Amino acid sequence: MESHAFLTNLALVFCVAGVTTLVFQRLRQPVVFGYLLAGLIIGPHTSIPLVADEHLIETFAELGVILLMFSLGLELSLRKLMRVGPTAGMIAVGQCSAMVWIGYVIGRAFGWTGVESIYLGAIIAISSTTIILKAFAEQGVKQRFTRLVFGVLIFEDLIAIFLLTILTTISSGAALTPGAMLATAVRLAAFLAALIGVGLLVVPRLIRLVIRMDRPEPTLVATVALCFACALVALEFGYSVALGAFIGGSLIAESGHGRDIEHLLQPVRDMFGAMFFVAVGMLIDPGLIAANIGAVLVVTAAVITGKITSVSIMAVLTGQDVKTSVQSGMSLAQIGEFSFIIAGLGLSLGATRSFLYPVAVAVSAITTLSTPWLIRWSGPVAGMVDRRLPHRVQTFVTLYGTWFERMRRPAAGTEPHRSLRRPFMLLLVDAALLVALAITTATQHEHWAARVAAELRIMPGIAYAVVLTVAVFAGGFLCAAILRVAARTSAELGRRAFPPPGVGVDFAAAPRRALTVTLRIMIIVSLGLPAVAITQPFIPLFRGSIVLVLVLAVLAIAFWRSVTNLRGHARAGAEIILMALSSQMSDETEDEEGEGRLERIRDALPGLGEPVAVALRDGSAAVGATLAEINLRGRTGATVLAIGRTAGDVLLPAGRERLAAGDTLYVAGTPRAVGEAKEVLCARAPGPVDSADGRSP
Amino acid sequence: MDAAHEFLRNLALVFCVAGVTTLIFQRLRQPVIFGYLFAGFIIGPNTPIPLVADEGIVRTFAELGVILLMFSLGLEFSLRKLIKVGPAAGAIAVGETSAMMWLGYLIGRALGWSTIESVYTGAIIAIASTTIILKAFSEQGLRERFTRLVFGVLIVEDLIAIFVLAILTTISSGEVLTPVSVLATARTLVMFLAGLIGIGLLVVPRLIRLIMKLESPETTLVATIGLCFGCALLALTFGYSVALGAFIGGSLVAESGHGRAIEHLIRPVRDIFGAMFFVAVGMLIDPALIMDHIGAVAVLTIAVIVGKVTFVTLMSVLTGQDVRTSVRTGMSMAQIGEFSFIIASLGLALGATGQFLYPVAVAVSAITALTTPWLITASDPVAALIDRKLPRRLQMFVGLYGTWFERMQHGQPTPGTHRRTIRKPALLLLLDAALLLGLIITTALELPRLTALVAGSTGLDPRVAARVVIGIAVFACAFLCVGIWRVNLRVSSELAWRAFAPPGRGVDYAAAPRRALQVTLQIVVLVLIGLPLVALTQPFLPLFRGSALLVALLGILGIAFWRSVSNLHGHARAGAEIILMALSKQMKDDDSDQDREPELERIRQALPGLGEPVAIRIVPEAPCVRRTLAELNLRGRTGATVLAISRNGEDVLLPNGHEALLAGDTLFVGGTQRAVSAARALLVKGGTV
Repeated sequence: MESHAFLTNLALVFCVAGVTTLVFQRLRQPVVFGYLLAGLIIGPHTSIPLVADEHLIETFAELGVILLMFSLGLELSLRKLMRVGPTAGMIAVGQCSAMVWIGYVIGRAFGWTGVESIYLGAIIAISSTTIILKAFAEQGVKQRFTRLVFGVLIFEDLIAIFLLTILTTISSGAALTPGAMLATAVRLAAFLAALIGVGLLVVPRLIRLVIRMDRPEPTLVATVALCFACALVALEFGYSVALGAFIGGSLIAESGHGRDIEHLLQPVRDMFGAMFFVAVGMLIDPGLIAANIGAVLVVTAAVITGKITSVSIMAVLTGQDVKTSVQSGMSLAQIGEFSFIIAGLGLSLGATRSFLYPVAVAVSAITTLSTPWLIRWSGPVAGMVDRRLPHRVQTFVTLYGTWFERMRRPAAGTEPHRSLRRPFMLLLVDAALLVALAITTATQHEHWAARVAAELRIMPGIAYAVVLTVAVFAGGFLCAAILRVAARTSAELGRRAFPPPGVGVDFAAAPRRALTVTLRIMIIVSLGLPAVAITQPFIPLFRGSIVLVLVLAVLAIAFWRSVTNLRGHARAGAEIILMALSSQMSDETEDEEGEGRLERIRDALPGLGEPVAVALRDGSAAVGATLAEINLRGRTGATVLAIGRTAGDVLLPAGRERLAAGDTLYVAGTPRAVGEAKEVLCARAPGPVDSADGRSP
Repeated sequence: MDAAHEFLRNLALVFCVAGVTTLIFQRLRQPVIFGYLFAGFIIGPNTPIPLVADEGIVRTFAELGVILLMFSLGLEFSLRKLIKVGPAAGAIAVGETSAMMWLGYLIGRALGWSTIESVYTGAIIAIASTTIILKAFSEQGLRERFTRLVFGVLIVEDLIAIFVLAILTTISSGEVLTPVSVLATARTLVMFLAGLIGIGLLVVPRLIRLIMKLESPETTLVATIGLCFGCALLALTFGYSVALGAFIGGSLVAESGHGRAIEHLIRPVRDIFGAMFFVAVGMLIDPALIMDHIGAVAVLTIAVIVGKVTFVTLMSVLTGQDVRTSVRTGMSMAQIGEFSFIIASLGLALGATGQFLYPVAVAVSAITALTTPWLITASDPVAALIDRKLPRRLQMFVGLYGTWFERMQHGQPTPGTHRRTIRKPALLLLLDAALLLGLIITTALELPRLTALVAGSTGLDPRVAARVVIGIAVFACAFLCVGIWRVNLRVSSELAWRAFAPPGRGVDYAAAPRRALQVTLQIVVLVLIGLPLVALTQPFLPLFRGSALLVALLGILGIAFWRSVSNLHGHARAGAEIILMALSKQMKDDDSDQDREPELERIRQALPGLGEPVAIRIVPEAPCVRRTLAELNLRGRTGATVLAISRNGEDVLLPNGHEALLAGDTLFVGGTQRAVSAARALLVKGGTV
């Protein structure tokens, strides 16, 4: 009886998994790890005499993938994407590209084939929503950075879908001609457009109709039907079932009942999802891992350091403060279900050898274990990173967030969106052209060289050189164009943040310059990293990377200089503020007028983050502590520009500076950061303390 | 991964079709189950629609569906709940399922099916469908008292179904039945159940409580499913049906006290797999096969509807419910459903039944499910009709019987001693019944061997030897039957005496009601013991013999019953007269209401068994004035009986339905306390029940 084989295997899986998850739940470890262990136990690679039928488990595991992807899709609705905004998107694009690139480089360094290296890159690019969700839920983390993390995860899911499609195409064995690739891209786009278009017309209405009946059972059946149907449609068109299920889920999410349906579907998903993780665990072969222990360790190190670094840097570049950036980075440092899916895809398509899957599983297992710890430590580590940053970078990071805000809410009278959309489109087109050029040249240069030789009757060697030169020339031209447009766009944005004064000295020059350089870096990174990641399999190893690194190095030097400049600017600004205010103090002016003067200073000295004066009173908790002890910047993101003190003012104080009663701190940063800083400096005092504002003591 | 994709393809097909059909059925306000069945029918091999699912894959999931369905049934079932259901529901369930099994077996034999098939037929039509009833109740918004009785009966039915499943698995294992093998399998079954439940009760509830403390739904889900599949697998390993194991697993989990939470958690999983089960059932529907057996379908459908309604109603009247509650309960339960599918699929899987039984069961279930809502809606008028059409003396009896039952339950003096005296004879009855059962089965199975033995040792002619053996067996049976009869008599008279304690001296006014109660109780006990006995032994006995015996016994009791009921009618008339006389005398003396009560109290003491009559005065503005008792449907709506009407000038004793009420009448109403207060509300305020 075949059905009894099913029962036997399912009973085995769930009994073992029940015990292991219980143990792991008790140990406060992610449940996923319990599944993996259960899989290991009932897998063929351990000596324990409990062995499940791999084939059967795999069957259920595929349904598990479908349901997991479906409920991820349920969480993603267009509305949710809009709210997280472009910040998360840029972070996701930047870090995924960086990780794909790192993975590829590592793979090549290990001597794996090009396709395997691409797979490795894809495997380590995508973080695990499940694991992060579990870790956050278990630790009760509900801070602000979690929203950013979920945003990034959503975009990473989208990128993963894209990666899956591209990888399916690449490893389908078809020759990689640009025409074929374009056809694939068009086919994918058409498929997605058709599925989403038709789906948007039909699915939300249908779901609303079903929900209105208010019966859980038909709703459940209809939902599962949609899920499997979408997966099947994707499968029929040659795409992964995960893609279909994901789109199915997001279509249902559009009905506005995604949350109810997710709640309804959760047990089913958990059950089949468990099968998926168990199936993954069954694939863990300790012997194979031991044989590839070097690769596992290197890839693990790459995932943890690479993810933390790239996410943190991208987050800082998109205007987050250091603490949020580091915490987001440390939360995202793991790989999970998508990596299994990608590795499984490679294995089933025969594109990768069998060692890659266990390596991915092992790396995922290790990083899954490390994730809760990393999240727990992210707060202290963020504080430490903040303290260790060079002084001028500290100043820059703090002020950068305020500039970003200024840039988003530009001064009235300008019409920014129209003037920016064109250069951005231009940038995208140029980048696409560059990628196409690189890929075409790399794949077709011999063909072309032969044709050129035949047409012009010159030696093949020379023809080859000619082709390459032309290509490099064209590439260089495109690069120059990109750099130029990037420079123009960032300058435009910088001007928007700090409009130049009509007459007189341009006090905003230093911050505008710093902002412009940073924006240029950001543009180059968000265009260059994907371009390099896409083209690297086609061009000789490291060449594309070298170009990008060179460009970035040049920009970094410019950045360093402008940051140094900025520091001088801040120091001068602080001095002006202090002077202005001390004169005001001697005049004994009214409070309103003092505030008005500060306002004037703000206008005259843009880019210092609208400094606010905070007076320290007797009895405030901050009195007697150094700035480093309070960890003001780490905790709030606000920076102290100057300390006004009767004994002598301090400009741009260092962390060692001890605060005394009667000091007036000039604090700059985003409004939120400044508000928090005020609370830290005043409210924690024992005894009643008025909230300090611009009042001088 | 081709196999996996094959799975996906089939699942997508099943759920897409089922999604559409369930939506349609939901819209048509039909149970979702039939959406699934219809979906299965569409994608099955028996329709020309070119959507065909792989039967193997669907059946694989269907087995998991049965397991999860039974598991969640078990979750809803717990010993505590069973105890709370009370003896009435238990007695009703035992009586009517036995009767249905007996009926099913007879029909099966009459249609020329094999013994085993007939046994399966009996089991299939015995168990009503919780799903369909729930659906019908919730759609009609019924929350009346009788629904509680229905659910109580359903719970006991589930338990009986589990035992039937276990027994059927044993019977149809294909071995030749010998008393030794029957005894051995019975012993392994008992040991298996005892072992599983014993060890389970020690381990499972604790484990579940431990898991629930972690408050992680996912871990709870995985562990619960592990337990569920584990229990099912265990049962399978020991050769029993997976449904049995899953049900026990579920009830073990329910003992932890978290059954409700876990059921909520597991419901979507159960729904998904359960859907697959019903789809698989639908796939087996072959219209041609049903057309071939259209007669069987019709007969079985009638048997289910008529049999269920009759037996449930009779049993609930016998257990002291009023006519209306009884009829409504009976008419609610006239259908078969998921358990029938499980039993039928078991028979098919074990090869015990032919291909035809399954679709026949589905067809009968489909028809009865359609009729259920109608029957429930019609049950109220039908109950009123039956109440009116009942012979007068029966009306009287039914109205008073409930009050006697109450008296019996609340016990007269020193209840402790009575409990003990009842338990022993009850055990004796069970023992006697078991002995009788064993004797009959042994004789039936071992007749050739015993005959040979007797012939060999005594040198008798084999035919004579057979006679001798049968004679001895019949003698022993008769002896046991007489034993049962005697104990039954003792028990029922003991109970009757408890309800109506004899007066120390003087005239025994309670004699008539006591006699009626005793006869009725005798019938109840006989039915409760005799029906299961007949249902269990009939496959072994020549057709109709056991039934004939039971019918004969019941016939005798029926006559006794009729006589005692006639007696009772006289008693009630006399009692009513006494009441009226006493009160009219008193009214002449003085008219105050207060004085009337103690007088009535004295009468109650003197005349037991009239349901503690209460005087209700009809005020001129009461809405019931100028309406007949039949129009008011007093007994039908409240269960209370009007013993007498005291009216200026002429009194009416035991009024019939044509009697119109007038302002100033005083009605003497008897019945259970609830019935009387409902009647008071109806007569005074015109309010509904």
